[in-house]
Amino acid sequence: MAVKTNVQAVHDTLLEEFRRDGRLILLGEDVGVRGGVFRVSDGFIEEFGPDRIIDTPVAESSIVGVAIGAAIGGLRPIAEMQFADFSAPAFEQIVNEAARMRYRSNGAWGVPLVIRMPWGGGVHGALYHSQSVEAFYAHVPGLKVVVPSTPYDITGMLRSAIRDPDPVIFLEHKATYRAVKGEVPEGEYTIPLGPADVKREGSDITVYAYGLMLHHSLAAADALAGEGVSVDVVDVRSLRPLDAETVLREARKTGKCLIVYEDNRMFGAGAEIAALIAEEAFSDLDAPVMRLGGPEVPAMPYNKPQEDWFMPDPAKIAAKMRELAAY
Amino acid sequence: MAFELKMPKLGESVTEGTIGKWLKQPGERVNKYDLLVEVQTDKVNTEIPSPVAGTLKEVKVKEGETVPIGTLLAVFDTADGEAAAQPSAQPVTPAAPSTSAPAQQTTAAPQPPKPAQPGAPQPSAGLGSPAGRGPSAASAPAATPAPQRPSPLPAAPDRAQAEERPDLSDIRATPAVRRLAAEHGIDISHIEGTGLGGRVSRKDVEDFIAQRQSQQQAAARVVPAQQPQAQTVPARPAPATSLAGDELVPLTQMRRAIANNMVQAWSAPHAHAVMEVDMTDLMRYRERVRHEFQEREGFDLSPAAFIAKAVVEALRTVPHVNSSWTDQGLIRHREINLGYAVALGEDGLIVPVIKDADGKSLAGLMRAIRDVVDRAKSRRLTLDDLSGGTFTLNNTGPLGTIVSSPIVPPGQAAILSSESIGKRLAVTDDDSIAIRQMMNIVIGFDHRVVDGSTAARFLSAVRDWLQTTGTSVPVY
Repeated sequence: MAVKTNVQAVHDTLLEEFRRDGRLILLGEDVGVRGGVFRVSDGFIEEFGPDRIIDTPVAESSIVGVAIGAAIGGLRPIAEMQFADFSAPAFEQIVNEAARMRYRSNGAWGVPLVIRMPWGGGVHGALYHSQSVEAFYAHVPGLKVVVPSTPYDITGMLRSAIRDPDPVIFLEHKATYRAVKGEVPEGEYTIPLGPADVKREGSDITVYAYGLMLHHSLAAADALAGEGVSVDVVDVRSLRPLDAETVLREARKTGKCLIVYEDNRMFGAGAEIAALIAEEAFSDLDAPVMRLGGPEVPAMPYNKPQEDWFMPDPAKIAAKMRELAAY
Repeated sequence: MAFELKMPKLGESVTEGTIGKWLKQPGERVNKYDLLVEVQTDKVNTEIPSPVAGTLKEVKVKEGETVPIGTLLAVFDTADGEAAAQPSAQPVTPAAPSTSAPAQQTTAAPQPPKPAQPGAPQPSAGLGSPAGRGPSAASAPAATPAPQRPSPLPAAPDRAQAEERPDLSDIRATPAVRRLAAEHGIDISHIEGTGLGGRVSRKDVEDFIAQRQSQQQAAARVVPAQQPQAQTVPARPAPATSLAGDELVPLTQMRRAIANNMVQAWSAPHAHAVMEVDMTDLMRYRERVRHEFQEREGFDLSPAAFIAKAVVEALRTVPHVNSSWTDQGLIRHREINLGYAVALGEDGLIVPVIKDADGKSLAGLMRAIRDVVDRAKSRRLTLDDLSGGTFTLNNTGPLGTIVSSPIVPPGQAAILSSESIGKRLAVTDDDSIAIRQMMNIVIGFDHRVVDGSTAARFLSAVRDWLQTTGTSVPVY
């Protein structure tokens, strides 16, 4: 079985899908000649030509707008936001048009569009290359927002996203692009967009995470295991739809829940998960639902000490886990 | 230095109180006279102010617990404050009476409540009572206080050490723990918590269950669902049959207090006597004066004022009725403090006391009646309003009854019901038939204190006053 990095998984899956389905086009800044700033589409323009691999102007609203039109017209566009931070100008197209098309046309039109967004911090990207945007989009019915974090999940979920009849925001944590490696089986398997995945079974506390935080949480869980605390780690691979069944089942299992996310803690995805648990699993709770998230700071700082302070890391997560376990 | 606050005596015949809400929490700074804790007695709800300045160190009685007077409630650290010279906390004007039966204890009722040592074995309430009826409810601290911290049978080690830190184990329980404990009938206060601040965690409960199952002896540590708190009402086999659609109406403080009071009152041997009163002339006189009274006072001059006046005058004439039974002797009261029963609908009834009723004119009595009725209905009576009654007037007339058998409030010798006033055919002294306004008056009396002839003498005095003096008594 091949071992790949996350970014290789994206590259390889896109490549296979492009070869499989002639309707696929890729639009984005520097996706063509440059092969993408993260080399995701390296070699694509040579193989598929400039009609399918389209270098766009630096205008995200038009990238998405054009992609919506192409999708309605019968193509299967993949729009790349070079950094998730840049999706703000496209927000109007994504939220007001793509998300609503099926509803607005009473089902006559769908927008089979994948918008890929490298997101997240911890890469010295500073203010404009580090943001977490998942909560903005997860708030909108009509969109799917998925956050796979391993090569296996990325491969299976990107296939599903491309084949989905409706718009999917596909978030790839850039700090995991090359840091996370994993086995990817041969064959055209898919992973449905929705189900969460228990990445580590445990019995004392349950931790929910996605993206880079999933890997930090798994590392922290390893540390806690040495202290006799058994940590259950749930990979929330999909924020919309959210897998309430798994979230609640794992919550009831331990009665002690922690949600870890690097987005601003307030009004973040963790708030939704915490509320779900509080509403539906109240009588099984043995501790307040806890959250560990980003601080109330407008943006990711650039210099390392400050960035380190901003980001939850395995040490901070382990400390929070201990607090919850001791409750 | 430490100061210990004990449950103060919150009124005559009050022997116990229920902690409502702690208004200060352990660790909090407290100024002298700061309101500290709400206490409900069977008569009133009140707030106890702090007798000292300092830091509230420890709260010894949980909210909802009922404890006898003298029970240690809280410990203060008065290190920087004054030493507690006068530890007797006086209740502040209570917000609202929560209850009372139609019954008033007398000031002289010899009911020294025995302050119980917390945790000390309580005298069994039922022992030595004659006729197996149970002791006079208010005269013994009947409700055994729930032990503060029942310790598991196997003596817990490190108890002293555990007391060092704030013990939250018995007041904090997460939903999971509550559910698990309820499902298995476990009192979590008997489980040694390993969580934060001694909290009992779900795992602790699970471990406890596992342990209980594995070793039979451990079962002894389990306390079955808490025993219903000892009631002053003697428990009898409930004669009620359970039928489909039945609904259990929880006992309010007032309902419980009335029940206790009535059971206690019932221990006195009762007798009753009835007399007819011709109210025609008095009602006529009332018609003459009531409009001026209404204009001047803003409210009506009701027959109740006349009857109250008649009762006061009769008590002066037959002072023996204004007394109390004790085993040491009868206590004859000089003060005439008239209890006036006020019905509060479904909620029950309450008996505020008009103090020194013999010093009041007809108008004065009317004002006093109106005042206590208003305040009773708006739940603004104070403890003081409810204590010190020596005789009770139960004006049932407005309810339409013509005969009732009133129960003598504990500590009093008699009670008088004034029934409805209605027109009836009557044969007058000159043998003619006339239409007269008639009223029955009923005396209920404690036959240990009062005999039939005395009761009749009293009734006659009431009747005569109403038929003669009352028909021209000055309003002011």
